[in-house]
Amino acid sequence: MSTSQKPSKNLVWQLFISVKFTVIVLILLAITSAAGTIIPQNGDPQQYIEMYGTFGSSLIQVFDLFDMYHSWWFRSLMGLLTINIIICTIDRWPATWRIITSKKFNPEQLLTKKPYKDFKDERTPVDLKPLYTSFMKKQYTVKGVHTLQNGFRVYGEKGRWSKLGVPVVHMSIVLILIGALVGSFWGFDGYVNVPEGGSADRIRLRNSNKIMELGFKVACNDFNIEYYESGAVKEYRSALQILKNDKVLLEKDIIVNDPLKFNGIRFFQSSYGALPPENIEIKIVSKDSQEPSIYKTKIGETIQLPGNSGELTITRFNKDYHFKKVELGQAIEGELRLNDKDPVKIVLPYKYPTFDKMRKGQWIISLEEYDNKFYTGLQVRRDPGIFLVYLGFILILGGCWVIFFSSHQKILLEVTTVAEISQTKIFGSTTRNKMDFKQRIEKMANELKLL
Amino acid sequence: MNSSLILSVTTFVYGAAAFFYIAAWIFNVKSAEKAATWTLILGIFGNTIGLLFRWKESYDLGIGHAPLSNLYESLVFFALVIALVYLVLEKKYSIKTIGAFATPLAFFSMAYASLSPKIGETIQPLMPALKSNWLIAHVVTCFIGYAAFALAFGIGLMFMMASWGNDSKTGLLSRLPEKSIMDELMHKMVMFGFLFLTGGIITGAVWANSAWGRYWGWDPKETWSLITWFVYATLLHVRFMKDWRGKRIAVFTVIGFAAVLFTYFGVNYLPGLHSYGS
Repeated sequence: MSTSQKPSKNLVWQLFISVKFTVIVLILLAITSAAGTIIPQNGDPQQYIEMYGTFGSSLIQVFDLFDMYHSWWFRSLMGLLTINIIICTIDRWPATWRIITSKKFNPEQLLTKKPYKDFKDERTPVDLKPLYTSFMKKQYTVKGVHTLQNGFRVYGEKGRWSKLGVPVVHMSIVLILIGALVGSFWGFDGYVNVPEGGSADRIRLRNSNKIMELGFKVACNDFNIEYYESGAVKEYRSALQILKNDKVLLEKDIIVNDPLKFNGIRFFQSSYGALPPENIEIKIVSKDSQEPSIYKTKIGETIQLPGNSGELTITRFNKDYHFKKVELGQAIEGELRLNDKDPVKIVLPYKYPTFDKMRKGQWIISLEEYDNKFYTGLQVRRDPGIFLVYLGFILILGGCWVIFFSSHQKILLEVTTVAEISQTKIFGSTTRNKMDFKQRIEKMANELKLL
Repeated sequence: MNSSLILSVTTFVYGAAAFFYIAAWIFNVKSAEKAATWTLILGIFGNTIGLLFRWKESYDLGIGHAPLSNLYESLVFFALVIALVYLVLEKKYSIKTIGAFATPLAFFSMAYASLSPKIGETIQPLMPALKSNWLIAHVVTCFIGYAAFALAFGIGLMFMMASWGNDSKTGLLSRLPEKSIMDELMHKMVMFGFLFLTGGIITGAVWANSAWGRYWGWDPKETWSLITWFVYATLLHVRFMKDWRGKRIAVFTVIGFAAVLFTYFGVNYLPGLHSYGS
């Protein structure tokens, strides 16, 4: 269908309009994309060395296979596809436009082929002419009615504009890619953890790991997890506020699938975690006397044990304590130093406050109280290209619809009398969907008989 | 009566429909053809009722959601769409031999859902990421696309079979539709599937954007759906521009359907965000 009139158009142009080129690029994109789903992307370098060996992983490194969708060569492939699409569209545009805007209709061309259908009618051409003409006018743009010696012809067409489907689909792909480019240049993607009851005014960017000032504050007044009866998570909810100079500008509870939008920046519920407790209450019991003592303390503080027998330091909060490969969850850790003995590590898991009994030590330490606060993990994103991408989405769907389900159809009805009987012939042509066209003509013949 | 029972019975109804279609084709029995169509309609009815019951049951459990949220439900829905698209094709073009290749696919999908011990049948509550109005739009568009590709694949197989027989068409092969018709139908199913696959990818992208703030993240499922899209885009280009027909297109429908199956099942074995299906 190439319409380049000048054979002198240079070789590069010829290359970019060849279907072979398109097919090769599409196949290469398919194969390389598949490779990227098998080689884990953006993983830990150590893991790659374990998987592929030193040589293999350094080879993979050279070609950016660990982050191949953002590598220079993958982007070049996408670039080639884009250029291919643009050049093909430019190359074909004059011909497409000519067809869409042309007023010409050559009935002779339709008459060179066999009619799709012919049948007899007892009515005369004079009776049939107005009936057929108004029938055609309902479904097609009638381009001419000719009177013949022993009959007439009426012809028309529809769907000239369906030629636009192909360039629209191709341009919408370019539009989506431009939208993606705009997003990657002028947008950002970062994250921030906001403690319950606290706020943040800066985020960390994912690509560069740099800190970015927001210019306003995002506060989390409450974080909640709702569970189903089965124990599975039903909902994560953060009550967010946007503040500027201590004035609340916006307030919204966000859940997964329902972010907060402010100034083109969107805040997504992405993760959560427990914060180290501020105040801890600990019970210490001597194995001999069974007498409990309660202490209020904080992380980093040291408690003197009863009778000056030693001291206990609360060293840290562990988000994810594992005991012999079993996950016990959040825990408070400490160091017990008894006089004349080596220091011992103490662990107080939230879920098992009397875990320390198992140690069978002189002192049994257990967790009485702690404040259990969370932080909410927010994904923070801005994408100014989204409008172009969505426009591309709409256009590509519309364009595909037009390409697949509509076509440029021409119909010519010819009625002639042979031995006093009218003979109707239906000629036609379609650019696509020949089978449906045939069915349509069958239906049309039946309707014409009943007029 | 509960949905599990209805859907189990439906599996056998589809099996019977497939049996009738195949018998009608192999033994050239007209009465079996009629029985096949009615059995298929019964299967579609059971499949629909089963899904509706399941929908209602999820509300009775207090976790109400559309029955499109895990592998079991998607397979049941896949069977329904295959059967429906085929039935439309049968009504429109009155070619019943295609049923011998299409209805077994609906049966396999249901049988896999009901019989595989790996696939949990229990109604599960929705995890937070799946709670979205896009769930229905995304799953429905994707599976209409997949079903159309499944039918293109079935017709592709028929076409290849017809090509073995060469000129001396006898018996079985003579009862296959004409090659030009199969060629056209294959192409039609691919175009229809392509439109819906495009829609499926787009609804998925819009959903991902509302859940995670990005419409594309090269997660394996996304990537494989794009690979599938590339395969069928290639098919459409060689057909439109190079006028490839018949056997070559038939081979393409097989490759394309393999990509569909990998997007559907294979990806669960790769790491990524989309692992709700497993």
